[in-house]
Amino acid sequence: MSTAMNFSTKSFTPRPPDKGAFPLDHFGECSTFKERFMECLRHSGYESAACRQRAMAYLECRMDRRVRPATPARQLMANEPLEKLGFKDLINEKSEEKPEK
Amino acid sequence: VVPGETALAFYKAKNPTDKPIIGISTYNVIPFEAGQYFNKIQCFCFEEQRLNPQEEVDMPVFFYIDPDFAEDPKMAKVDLITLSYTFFEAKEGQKLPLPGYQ
Repeated sequence: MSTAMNFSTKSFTPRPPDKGAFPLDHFGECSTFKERFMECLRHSGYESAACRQRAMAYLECRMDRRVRPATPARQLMANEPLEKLGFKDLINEKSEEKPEK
Repeated sequence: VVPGETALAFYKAKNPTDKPIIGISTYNVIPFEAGQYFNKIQCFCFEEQRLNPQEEVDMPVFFYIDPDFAEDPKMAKVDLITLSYTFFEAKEGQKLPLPGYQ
């Protein structure tokens, strides 16, 4: 971390996340999706780009669940279409294949 | 991670005590100069999170590196950016200096 004694650099200002805080998955409802994503990362040598499909699946899982206590405001990125989250190219691919169960 | 592409990362937190803990976290990016290019879309930080006794929970961060990172000559030698989180116990009446976020 930069020390406060260095006057020429600006201090690090934490910025809040664009879409707010992630409600936690306390009940592990989406743990399977997370495990599959992590497995993919390990196999691909931690190449994030190789595992975007599974990352998207995890986010879809979280978005489909209502967070308990059920309050609409706490739903993960409620109503945010996946295209806006950088998955546009994957959505187009997905609609061409059968949805995986 | 490719600049401009959204990426997901997971941290795991555990409350090893036998009492519920309410924590709040803040983050840091190293190298310091890369911090301006680091954009969080969603994360678990800044908001109080409650962990029950012995509870272990996955903490995701969904982010991207600003594509301008690839254009910045000062970043040319940077091929590793480390994101770290520090958890503090949230105490009544104590607030971290949040940058206008509620």
